[in-house]
Amino acid sequence: MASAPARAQNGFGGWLDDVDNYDGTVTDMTGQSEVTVEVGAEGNGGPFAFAPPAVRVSPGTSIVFEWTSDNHNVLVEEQPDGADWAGEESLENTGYTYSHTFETEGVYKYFCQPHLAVGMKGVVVVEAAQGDGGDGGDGGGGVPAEYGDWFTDSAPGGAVDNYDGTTVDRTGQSEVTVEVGADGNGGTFAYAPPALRISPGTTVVFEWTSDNHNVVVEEQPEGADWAGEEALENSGYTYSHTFETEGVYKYLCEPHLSLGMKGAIVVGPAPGAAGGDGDGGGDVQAPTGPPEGVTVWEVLAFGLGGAALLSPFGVYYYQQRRELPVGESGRDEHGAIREAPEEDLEEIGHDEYDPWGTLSLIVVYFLILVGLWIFMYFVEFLGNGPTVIG
Amino acid sequence: MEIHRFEKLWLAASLVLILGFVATVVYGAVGAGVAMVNDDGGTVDPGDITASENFREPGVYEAGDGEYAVYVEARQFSFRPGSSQPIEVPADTRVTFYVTSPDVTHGFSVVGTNINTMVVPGQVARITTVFEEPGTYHIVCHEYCGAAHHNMQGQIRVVDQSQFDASATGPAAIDDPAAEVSD
Repeated sequence: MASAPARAQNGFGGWLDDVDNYDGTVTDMTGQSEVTVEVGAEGNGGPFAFAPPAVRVSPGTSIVFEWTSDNHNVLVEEQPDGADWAGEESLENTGYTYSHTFETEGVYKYFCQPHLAVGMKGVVVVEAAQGDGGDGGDGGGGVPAEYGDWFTDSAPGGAVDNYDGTTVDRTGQSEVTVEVGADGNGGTFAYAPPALRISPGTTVVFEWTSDNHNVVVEEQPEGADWAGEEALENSGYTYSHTFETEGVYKYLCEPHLSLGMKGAIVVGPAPGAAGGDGDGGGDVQAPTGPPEGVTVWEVLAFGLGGAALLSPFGVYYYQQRRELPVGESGRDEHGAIREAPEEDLEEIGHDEYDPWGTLSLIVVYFLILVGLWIFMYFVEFLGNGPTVIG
Repeated sequence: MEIHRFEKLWLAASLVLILGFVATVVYGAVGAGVAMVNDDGGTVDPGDITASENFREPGVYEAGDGEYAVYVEARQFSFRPGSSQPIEVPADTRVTFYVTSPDVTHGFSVVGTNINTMVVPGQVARITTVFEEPGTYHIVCHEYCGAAHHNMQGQIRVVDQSQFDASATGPAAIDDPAAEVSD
């Protein structure tokens, strides 16, 4: 059962975030052959809710959708590979019922088309009964230790030397230690152990055993909120995090990524081994995916928006520039340059005028230059030994 | 062309100033013996600097009669030797530093002196100097090299010639209180 609240917290990748009548709990109806979901129950500011919004059933369960108010339908947003739930597209009224038998394990997301905007959405989780330790041997559960190419040459940072292909199993322990800056990767640039399996709820203590390392989260299951430790810390520092959400977490040391300082933590029982503790038998992996970044188009849109906002100022100043009064622009009303008024002139000989002001200014400049020259080269540079002599 | 006598004055003065600048630089190079860091240090394979004979075991070596060579590996984010153990060299002796980097571009700057160079991966920066007096100098990396660049620092201990022992570059020699002579 341990995994149920953990998964419920993630709101199914945001699907149920704006659903008023979803309070974070997935109603557990496993083991029943027929389950009823009300369509058009009270919620979301009117009779615009599925009740219960999130329900967990066993494979083979029929869900009866029962309309309790008018003008709703059931459209499927997402379902597991191989599932064939079509939903009920036509808009139906109070009293209508529609049922479907869910066979394929996984997460089904559905919504009511007319009331999607107010949050009329729901989820069906189909998974084998939990706590049914007896049938764990079917291997359908657990979290496989799949790291993709994380520990290989094709991932950023290259291969991880101290990863020998094994995942250290520490499931069932409440606290597990990972050394940060252990020997490996050509120095003290390794996490030890690099790959680790723990049970949900386990606290992992990261213990710095050498200097200038951090723990940056590269990838984690949807709904997990591990922030890592971005500050570069030194020997003796410890940092811990409790892992609740099942799945594979990948992390790295930013300064030493190029040396292969990477690690991974698998949270959840191993597949096949799951049944033994009655914990995760028949677990379904929560969907994972890369976090969404800011796209080029978003940047472009912001840029254009900003330019549009600023454009009135540009227009204003352009007009100001054009509208200088005739007298101040040096041009007459036809745009021709005006003649300067004639002035009285008195000619003096070439050497009759001595620009003493200019001379004294230049003398001051020279004194400043000579001062800087002597101070910079002879005092600051040569006087500041030792100096490179070869 | 008529030139005012004041103008002649300051034209001549600026030419004298330029000659003075050139003479100063010539004096620095010839008289004071100030040298530039160039590429004479040679190159090593940045992918594996330990493949180079000199960087197999960075440290302080006697390079001849009263001359010492210091091989330093600058890497993210430490100098080896220098960071975890100070570089110990004798005073009033020609010391040549050979610095290289296996990862990114670093800097090797002895704070408060004219000793500083860029450390380019694969290129050996060679600097010869003489520390006149015993004392402690600090090394910083002054080329941004990554997230912990600000932590990349080291130390040079200059000790009296009589106390210097080329083989003792380990921590034991550092704790010697006699070496704690400040300038």
